[in-house]
Amino acid sequence: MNSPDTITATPSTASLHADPERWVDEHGDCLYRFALTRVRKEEVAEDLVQETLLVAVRTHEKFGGRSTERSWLVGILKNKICDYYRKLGRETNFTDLEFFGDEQSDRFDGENYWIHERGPSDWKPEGEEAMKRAEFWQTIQGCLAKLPDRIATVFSMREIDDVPSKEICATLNISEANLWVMLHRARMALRQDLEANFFDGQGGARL
Amino acid sequence: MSSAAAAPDPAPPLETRLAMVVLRLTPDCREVSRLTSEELDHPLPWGTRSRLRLHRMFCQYCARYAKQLDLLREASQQLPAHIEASERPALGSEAKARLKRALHERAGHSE
Repeated sequence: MNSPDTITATPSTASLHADPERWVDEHGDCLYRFALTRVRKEEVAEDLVQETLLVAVRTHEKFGGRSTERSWLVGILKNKICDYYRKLGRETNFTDLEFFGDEQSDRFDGENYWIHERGPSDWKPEGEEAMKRAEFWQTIQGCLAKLPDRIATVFSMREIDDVPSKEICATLNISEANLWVMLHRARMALRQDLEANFFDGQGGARL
Repeated sequence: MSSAAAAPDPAPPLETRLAMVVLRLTPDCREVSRLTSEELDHPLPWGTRSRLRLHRMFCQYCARYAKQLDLLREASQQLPAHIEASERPALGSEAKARLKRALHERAGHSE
Protein backbone atom coordinates (compact mmCIF):
# COMPACT_ATOMS: atom_id res chain seq x y z
CA MET A 1 0.00 0.00 0.00
CA ASN A 2 2.78 2.41 0.82
CA SER A 3 4.43 2.32 -2.56
CA PRO A 4 7.40 4.63 -3.13
CA ASP A 5 5.26 6.80 -5.41
CA THR A 6 2.67 7.32 -2.71
CA ILE A 7 5.30 8.22 -0.16
CA THR A 8 7.02 10.87 -2.18
CA ALA A 9 3.85 12.21 -3.82
CA THR A 10 3.00 14.50 -0.92
CA PRO A 11 5.46 15.66 1.71
CA SER A 12 3.10 14.81 4.51
CA THR A 13 3.23 11.13 3.65
CA ALA A 14 6.99 11.10 3.34
CA SER A 15 7.44 9.56 6.75
CA LEU A 16 6.55 5.93 7.24
CA HIS A 17 6.82 6.36 10.94
CA ALA A 18 4.18 7.73 13.22
CA ASP A 19 5.24 11.19 14.26
CA PRO A 20 2.86 12.35 16.94
CA GLU A 21 4.99 15.35 17.88
CA ARG A 22 4.89 16.70 14.37
CA TRP A 23 1.19 15.97 14.17
CA VAL A 24 0.60 18.05 17.30
CA ASP A 25 2.55 20.95 15.80
CA GLU A 26 1.05 20.78 12.34
CA HIS A 27 -2.51 19.68 13.05
CA GLY A 28 -3.08 20.14 16.78
CA ASP A 29 -4.77 23.54 16.58
CA CYS A 30 -7.01 22.52 13.72
CA LEU A 31 -8.07 19.29 15.42
CA TYR A 32 -8.64 21.12 18.68
CA ARG A 33 -10.83 23.73 17.02
CA PHE A 34 -12.79 21.06 15.20
CA ALA A 35 -13.44 19.23 18.45
CA LEU A 36 -14.12 22.31 20.56
CA THR A 37 -16.72 23.63 18.13
CA ARG A 38 -18.62 20.42 18.63
CA VAL A 39 -18.04 19.39 22.23
CA ARG A 40 -17.70 22.88 23.70
CA LYS A 41 -15.55 21.87 26.66
CA GLU A 42 -11.82 22.52 26.46
CA GLU A 43 -10.71 19.51 28.46
CA VAL A 44 -12.95 17.22 26.46
CA ALA A 45 -11.66 18.67 23.20
CA GLU A 46 -8.06 18.15 24.31
CA ASP A 47 -8.79 14.58 25.36
CA LEU A 48 -10.39 13.84 22.02
CA VAL A 49 -7.35 15.21 20.19
CA GLN A 50 -5.13 13.00 22.32
CA GLU A 51 -7.24 9.92 21.65
CA THR A 52 -7.25 10.74 17.95
CA LEU A 53 -3.49 10.97 17.75
CA LEU A 54 -3.12 7.70 19.67
CA VAL A 55 -5.31 5.94 17.15
CA ALA A 56 -3.30 7.58 14.41
CA VAL A 57 -0.08 6.23 15.89
CA ARG A 58 -1.54 2.73 16.00
CA THR A 59 -3.04 2.80 12.53
CA HIS A 60 -0.71 5.04 10.55
CA GLU A 61 0.44 2.18 8.42
CA LYS A 62 -3.05 1.85 7.05
CA PHE A 63 -2.96 5.47 5.95
CA GLY A 64 -1.85 4.94 2.41
CA GLY A 65 -1.82 8.55 1.32
CA ARG A 66 -5.32 8.27 -0.07
CA SER A 67 -6.20 11.60 1.41
CA THR A 68 -4.22 14.31 3.09
CA GLU A 69 -2.76 13.63 6.48
CA ARG A 70 -5.02 16.25 8.00
CA SER A 71 -8.24 14.90 6.56
CA TRP A 72 -7.23 11.43 7.72
CA LEU A 73 -6.73 12.73 11.26
CA VAL A 74 -9.99 14.66 11.13
CA GLY A 75 -11.72 11.47 10.05
CA ILE A 76 -10.45 9.70 13.16
CA LEU A 77 -11.49 12.68 15.27
CA LYS A 78 -15.00 12.60 13.84
CA ASN A 79 -15.35 9.01 15.03
CA LYS A 80 -14.09 9.97 18.47
CA ILE A 81 -16.57 12.82 18.64
CA CYS A 82 -19.32 10.44 17.62
CA ASP A 83 -18.31 8.07 20.42
CA TYR A 84 -18.44 11.00 22.80
CA TYR A 85 -21.93 11.93 21.65
CA ARG A 86 -23.09 8.35 22.13
CA LYS A 87 -21.66 8.36 25.62
CA LEU A 88 -23.53 11.60 26.33
CA GLY A 89 -26.70 10.01 25.06
CA ARG A 90 -26.29 7.12 27.46
CA GLU A 91 -25.25 9.15 30.48
CA THR A 92 -27.28 12.32 30.12
CA ASN A 93 -30.97 12.80 30.02
CA PHE A 94 -31.25 14.60 26.73
CA THR A 95 -34.91 15.01 27.07
CA ASP A 96 -34.68 16.97 30.25
CA LEU A 97 -36.86 19.89 29.38
CA GLU A 98 -35.42 22.59 31.60
CA PHE A 99 -34.54 24.71 28.60
CA PHE A 100 -38.01 24.35 27.24
CA GLY A 101 -39.49 27.15 29.22
CA ASP A 102 -41.38 29.49 27.01
CA GLU A 103 -38.90 32.31 26.72
CA GLN A 104 -40.69 33.63 23.66
CA SER A 105 -44.02 33.96 25.41
CA ASP A 106 -43.78 37.75 25.56
CA ARG A 107 -43.45 38.03 21.79
CA PHE A 108 -46.77 36.44 20.91
CA ASP A 109 -50.12 37.89 21.84
CA GLY A 110 -52.91 36.05 23.58
CA GLU A 111 -53.93 34.40 20.33
CA ASN A 112 -50.37 33.35 19.50
CA TYR A 113 -49.76 35.89 16.76
CA TRP A 114 -46.56 37.92 16.65
CA ILE A 115 -46.99 41.20 18.51
CA HIS A 116 -46.25 43.99 16.04
CA GLU A 117 -43.17 45.53 17.58
CA ARG A 118 -41.82 42.24 18.80
CA GLY A 119 -41.96 40.21 15.65
CA PRO A 120 -38.88 39.40 13.58
CA SER A 121 -37.37 42.61 12.26
CA ASP A 122 -36.33 43.25 8.69
CA TRP A 123 -32.71 42.16 8.65
CA LYS A 124 -30.31 44.48 6.90
CA PRO A 125 -27.83 43.98 5.38
CA GLU A 126 -29.24 40.98 3.52
CA GLY A 127 -27.82 37.51 4.09
CA GLU A 128 -24.95 37.49 1.59
CA GLU A 129 -23.77 40.92 2.68
CA ALA A 130 -24.11 40.10 6.36
CA MET A 131 -22.00 36.99 5.95
CA LYS A 132 -19.13 39.09 4.67
CA ARG A 133 -18.80 40.85 8.01
CA ALA A 134 -16.46 39.58 10.68
CA GLU A 135 -18.87 40.96 13.26
CA PHE A 136 -21.58 38.65 12.00
CA TRP A 137 -19.43 35.57 12.62
CA GLN A 138 -18.27 36.79 16.00
CA THR A 139 -21.86 37.40 17.01
CA ILE A 140 -23.10 34.06 15.84
CA GLN A 141 -20.35 32.22 17.69
CA GLY A 142 -21.24 34.18 20.78
CA CYS A 143 -24.87 33.19 20.37
CA LEU A 144 -23.96 29.52 19.97
CA ALA A 145 -21.82 29.61 23.08
CA LYS A 146 -24.85 30.71 25.08
CA LEU A 147 -26.96 27.72 24.16
CA PRO A 148 -27.24 25.06 26.86
CA ASP A 149 -24.94 22.09 26.19
CA ARG A 150 -27.49 19.55 25.06
CA ILE A 151 -29.31 21.96 22.79
CA ALA A 152 -25.98 23.04 21.33
CA THR A 153 -24.95 19.44 20.72
CA VAL A 154 -28.15 18.71 18.83
CA PHE A 155 -27.90 21.95 16.88
CA SER A 156 -24.30 21.46 15.87
CA MET A 157 -24.84 17.85 14.83
CA ARG A 158 -27.76 18.89 12.66
CA GLU A 159 -26.68 22.25 11.30
CA ILE A 160 -22.89 22.21 11.31
CA ASP A 161 -22.32 18.57 10.45
CA ASP A 162 -25.58 17.92 8.63
CA VAL A 163 -26.14 14.62 10.43
CA PRO A 164 -29.47 13.11 9.35
CA SER A 165 -32.20 13.36 11.98
CA LYS A 166 -32.56 9.62 12.47
CA GLU A 167 -28.85 9.26 13.09
CA ILE A 168 -28.86 12.05 15.68
CA CYS A 169 -31.73 10.33 17.46
CA ALA A 170 -29.96 6.97 17.44
CA THR A 171 -26.69 8.46 18.68
CA LEU A 172 -28.19 10.56 21.45
CA ASN A 173 -30.95 8.16 22.34
CA ILE A 174 -33.76 10.64 21.81
CA SER A 175 -37.00 10.53 19.87
CA GLU A 176 -37.60 12.52 16.72
CA ALA A 177 -40.23 14.53 18.56
CA ASN A 178 -37.61 15.49 21.16
CA LEU A 179 -35.24 16.43 18.36
CA TRP A 180 -37.72 18.74 16.63
CA VAL A 181 -38.47 20.53 19.89
CA MET A 182 -34.81 21.01 20.74
CA LEU A 183 -33.95 22.28 17.28
CA HIS A 184 -36.92 24.62 17.32
CA ARG A 185 -35.82 26.09 20.62
CA ALA A 186 -32.23 26.40 19.44
CA ARG A 187 -33.23 28.16 16.23
CA MET A 188 -35.67 30.45 17.98
CA ALA A 189 -33.06 31.47 20.54
CA LEU A 190 -30.30 31.92 18.00
CA ARG A 191 -32.48 33.92 15.65
CA GLN A 192 -33.52 36.26 18.42
CA ASP A 193 -30.00 36.59 19.75
CA LEU A 194 -28.52 37.29 16.33
CA GLU A 195 -31.21 39.86 15.70
CA ALA A 196 -30.63 41.66 18.98
CA ASN A 197 -26.84 41.57 18.82
CA PHE A 198 -26.13 42.08 15.16
CA PHE A 199 -28.98 43.06 12.85
CA ASP A 200 -30.83 45.47 15.10
CA GLY A 201 -27.68 47.53 15.36
CA GLN A 202 -27.28 47.70 11.59
CA GLY A 203 -30.16 50.03 10.86
CA GLY A 204 -32.84 47.71 9.51
CA ALA A 205 -36.54 48.29 10.03
CA ARG A 206 -38.21 47.16 13.23
CA LEU A 207 -41.63 47.06 11.65
CA MET B 1 -49.19 43.61 -0.56
CA SER B 2 -49.33 46.40 1.93
CA SER B 3 -48.01 45.75 5.37
CA ALA B 4 -50.47 44.47 7.93
CA ALA B 5 -48.65 46.64 10.44
CA ALA B 6 -50.29 49.87 9.21
CA ALA B 7 -51.23 52.53 11.75
CA PRO B 8 -54.48 51.61 13.52
CA ASP B 9 -57.58 52.85 11.66
CA PRO B 10 -61.05 53.24 13.04
CA ALA B 11 -62.25 50.91 10.27
CA PRO B 12 -59.62 48.43 9.11
CA PRO B 13 -59.10 48.58 5.35
CA LEU B 14 -60.41 45.70 3.26
CA GLU B 15 -56.99 44.14 2.79
CA THR B 16 -56.33 44.04 6.51
CA ARG B 17 -59.69 42.40 7.13
CA LEU B 18 -58.95 39.95 4.33
CA ALA B 19 -55.60 39.19 5.89
CA MET B 20 -57.23 38.57 9.23
CA VAL B 21 -59.75 36.18 7.72
CA VAL B 22 -57.12 34.27 5.81
CA LEU B 23 -54.80 34.09 8.79
CA ARG B 24 -57.52 32.45 10.83
CA LEU B 25 -57.59 29.65 8.27
CA THR B 26 -53.95 28.92 8.91
CA PRO B 27 -52.04 27.90 12.02
CA ASP B 28 -51.17 30.72 14.41
CA CYS B 29 -47.74 32.37 14.33
CA ARG B 30 -46.37 30.38 17.24
CA GLU B 31 -47.35 27.15 15.55
CA VAL B 32 -46.01 28.43 12.22
CA SER B 33 -42.63 29.15 13.78
CA ARG B 34 -42.53 25.62 15.17
CA LEU B 35 -43.48 24.12 11.79
CA THR B 36 -41.04 26.38 9.96
CA SER B 37 -38.28 24.89 12.04
CA GLU B 38 -39.52 21.35 11.46
CA GLU B 39 -39.70 21.97 7.73
CA LEU B 40 -35.92 22.26 7.75
CA ASP B 41 -35.54 18.73 8.98
CA HIS B 42 -38.19 16.63 7.31
CA PRO B 43 -40.87 17.10 4.67
CA LEU B 44 -44.24 18.22 5.98
CA PRO B 45 -47.53 17.02 4.55
CA TRP B 46 -48.64 18.92 1.47
CA GLY B 47 -51.67 20.42 3.22
CA THR B 48 -49.52 21.76 6.04
CA ARG B 49 -47.04 23.24 3.61
CA SER B 50 -49.83 25.00 1.73
CA ARG B 51 -51.22 26.50 4.90
CA LEU B 52 -47.74 27.67 5.90
CA ARG B 53 -47.26 29.36 2.52
CA LEU B 54 -50.66 31.00 2.79
CA HIS B 55 -49.91 32.24 6.28
CA ARG B 56 -46.61 33.74 5.19
CA MET B 57 -48.28 35.54 2.29
CA PHE B 58 -50.27 37.51 4.82
CA CYS B 59 -47.93 37.62 7.79
CA GLN B 60 -44.67 39.45 7.17
CA TYR B 61 -43.25 38.34 10.51
CA CYS B 62 -43.58 34.67 9.75
CA ALA B 63 -42.26 35.31 6.24
CA ARG B 64 -39.20 36.95 7.77
CA TYR B 65 -38.83 34.19 10.31
CA ALA B 66 -38.61 31.57 7.55
CA LYS B 67 -36.00 33.57 5.63
CA GLN B 68 -34.02 34.11 8.79
CA LEU B 69 -33.94 30.44 9.68
CA ASP B 70 -32.65 29.78 6.16
CA LEU B 71 -29.86 32.27 6.74
CA LEU B 72 -29.08 30.67 10.07
CA ARG B 73 -28.76 27.30 8.34
CA GLU B 74 -26.51 28.67 5.63
CA ALA B 75 -24.33 30.43 8.18
CA SER B 76 -24.05 27.30 10.31
CA GLN B 77 -22.77 25.34 7.36
CA GLN B 78 -20.11 27.96 6.65
CA LEU B 79 -19.16 28.34 10.29
CA PRO B 80 -16.41 25.70 10.42
CA ALA B 81 -14.63 27.38 7.51
CA HIS B 82 -14.75 30.72 9.28
CA ILE B 83 -13.54 29.28 12.55
CA GLU B 84 -10.66 27.60 10.76
CA ALA B 85 -9.75 30.79 8.94
CA SER B 86 -9.76 32.75 12.18
CA GLU B 87 -7.23 30.28 13.60
CA ARG B 88 -8.79 30.73 16.99
CA PRO B 89 -8.95 29.19 19.46
CA ALA B 90 -5.53 27.60 19.38
CA LEU B 91 -4.15 24.93 21.66
CA GLY B 92 -1.43 27.06 23.18
CA SER B 93 2.12 25.92 23.79
CA GLU B 94 1.40 24.53 27.25
CA ALA B 95 -1.45 22.37 25.99
CA LYS B 96 0.69 21.17 23.11
CA ALA B 97 3.52 20.23 25.44
CA ARG B 98 1.04 18.39 27.64
CA LEU B 99 -0.32 16.59 24.63
CA LYS B 100 3.12 15.55 23.43
CA ARG B 101 4.06 14.27 26.87
CA ALA B 102 0.86 12.25 27.15
CA LEU B 103 1.30 10.79 23.69
CA HIS B 104 4.88 9.87 24.45
CA GLU B 105 3.84 8.10 27.63
CA ARG B 106 0.87 6.31 26.17
CA ALA B 107 2.19 5.46 22.73
CA GLY B 108 5.56 4.48 24.12
CA HIS B 109 8.04 3.26 21.60
CA SER B 110 5.69 0.80 19.94
CA GLU B 111 6.57 2.19 16.51
